[in-house]
Amino acid sequence: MTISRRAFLELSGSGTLASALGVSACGPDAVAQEGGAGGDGVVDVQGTAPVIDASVPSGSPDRGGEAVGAHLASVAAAGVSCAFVPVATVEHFDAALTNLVAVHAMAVGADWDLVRATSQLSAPPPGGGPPDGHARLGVVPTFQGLQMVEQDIGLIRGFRELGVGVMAITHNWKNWNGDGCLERTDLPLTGLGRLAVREMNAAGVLIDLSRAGVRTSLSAIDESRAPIVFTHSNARAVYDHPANLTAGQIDACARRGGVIALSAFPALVSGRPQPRLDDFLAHLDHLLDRVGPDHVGLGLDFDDRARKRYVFDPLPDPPYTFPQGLSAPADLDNVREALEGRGLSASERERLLGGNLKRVLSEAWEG
Amino acid sequence: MAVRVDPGLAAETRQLHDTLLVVNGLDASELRSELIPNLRAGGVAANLVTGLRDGVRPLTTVASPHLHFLREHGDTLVHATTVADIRRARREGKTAIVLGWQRSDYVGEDVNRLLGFHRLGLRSAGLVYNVGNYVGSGCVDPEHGGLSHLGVEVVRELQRLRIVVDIGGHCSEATSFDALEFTTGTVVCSHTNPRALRPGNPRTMTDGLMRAIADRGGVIGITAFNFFLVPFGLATIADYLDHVEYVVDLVGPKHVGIGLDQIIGRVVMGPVDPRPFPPEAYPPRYEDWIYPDELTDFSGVPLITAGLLERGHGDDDIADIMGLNWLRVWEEIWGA
Repeated sequence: MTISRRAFLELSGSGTLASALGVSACGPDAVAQEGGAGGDGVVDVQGTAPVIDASVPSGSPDRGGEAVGAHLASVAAAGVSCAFVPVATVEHFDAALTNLVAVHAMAVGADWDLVRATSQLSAPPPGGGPPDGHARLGVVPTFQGLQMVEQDIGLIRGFRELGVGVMAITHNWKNWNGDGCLERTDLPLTGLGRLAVREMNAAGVLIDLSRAGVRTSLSAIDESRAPIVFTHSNARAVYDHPANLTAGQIDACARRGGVIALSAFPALVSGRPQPRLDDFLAHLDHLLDRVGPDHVGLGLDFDDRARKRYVFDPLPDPPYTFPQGLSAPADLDNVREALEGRGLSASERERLLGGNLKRVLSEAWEG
Repeated sequence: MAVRVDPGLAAETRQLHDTLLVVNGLDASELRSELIPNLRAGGVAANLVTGLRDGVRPLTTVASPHLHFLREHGDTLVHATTVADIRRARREGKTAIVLGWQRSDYVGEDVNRLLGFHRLGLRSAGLVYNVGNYVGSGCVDPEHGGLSHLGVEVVRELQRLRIVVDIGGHCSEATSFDALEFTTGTVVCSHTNPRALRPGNPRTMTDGLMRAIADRGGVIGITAFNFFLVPFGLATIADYLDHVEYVVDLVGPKHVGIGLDQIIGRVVMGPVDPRPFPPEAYPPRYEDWIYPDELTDFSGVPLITAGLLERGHGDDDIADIMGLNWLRVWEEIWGA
């Protein structure tokens, strides 16, 4: 079921929104009330770094439960212990809420769980492998834009209570908060955007600036009191694309303790018809060189669907030819192998594969 | 408030005002039955109201309350989608209502929705309401910029559909000039005030943009909102006439109209949301969203005619300013 925008707004922050919708509450408050992590059959192995993919659009609920289950199983089988799954991008309120409620419904009885606190994030079993009941895949629902909120920033808190742990300020295009990376204009956050950032901080939402415009993202980094994340972006210095990050964005993100999760989406990797794994690794090397291993993560973004939202959308049509050697979740092993060849310590590799993302989740969610 | 008008002027005004075809380029009043006799009392033949929306949200169904209202009041109102409708309404002793928007982001992410709204009767569209949206930047944004990609599509589609592109006022000047770049021919500003007379208020318009609109054959409507007329204290109808005359002097009488922007029937009190309505642009409490006494509602509209006569404007110029300019550009844009 869903409820009206007005009712949603009134119930946001009351602690009763989730029960009104017949779903389980998420977020720091809900977990604290239960006296810690627990629940959902997730074994707490705090202290061991989880493996996190910050962009798993193949798990989006509008694909239907069966497809979502299969996609998420393949992600878990690759040794990923936590997936950020977009539930809305430019959808408006009703569609975003419908999708989110659908995720809750799918989670019941599934072999994955909605992540309610970072203490629930577990490391994969040794050697990866399929989830065995001790390390189930955790799913963090995300918004890739804030169209569903528009000017009612009070809705942010309600969506957080329903489990949306990561929200992007805007997606590619201009909205109430600021400009997207593919826009004609490059303005800083609007007044409303600044308030939205503060509200996301207050509600315990990790802020995603992946597809925000350069100046909007820089002003959001300035405005936010928690570190931010770029969930699926690469470096312009390696491949110049408007959805990739400038040196200024990379430096500002790192300076504030944030994380850049690198994307395998071919249009952002290189100009080749089919990029190579090495092209992807060139972005990794660039970031390691520029900001070190504490500010890098993975947001592989394996997606097979059209993303065009507007007639002027410059993104290519599917099929997408993902990089050779990095075209499916199982290829994560190739990234692991490459990391081992780079002289990083085991601890640095763990942080890069998920520890860094867990850190920013924790700072945003639990302060 | 009783307004003293010289008896000779009163007679002359009545004679002239009754012959005018008075058109209000923008009204923010609630569309309620009480409005109808008030429009008639002021001799207003056509009134452009903000409609085809659901409160401040996009209309997501065709069940428009505005269309229902117009149908229910078909004995006194005409839903005008052509200038011929307006002239017919006047002949039949009815009042013409034109439906417009003050923001165009109601299209959501799909410009194709504009065709549907045109079929529902949308005939004029502003772009951005004070704060930046999917289309462009607003007049109170911390920094101004041009149209978005969607905004470019929106203004092109508006022109293709022959819907009036309404720039300036609520949207930033950068977005307005961008809209001029991506359109051809006549564009208007339905309701604003000259920045020169009200410096410091970002909701007002520069001489440069007024000239640019006039150069394209357009019309600039002048609001009677107290806080846009004067920075503090109570404005009078003399202040309103000063604003009209300033723009007439700047761009000529063919490019000025009335766009009173009254809020008759709205009973909101208390603090305003400072995000879209920051204190440099709007009074911080709704109680202070007022108009000169004479222009609190439409019954005082003949006093604008009187004031223009008193200040020596010719009958033809007055007829243009009071309505014919709007009809000229609407006919040009909408087609006959």
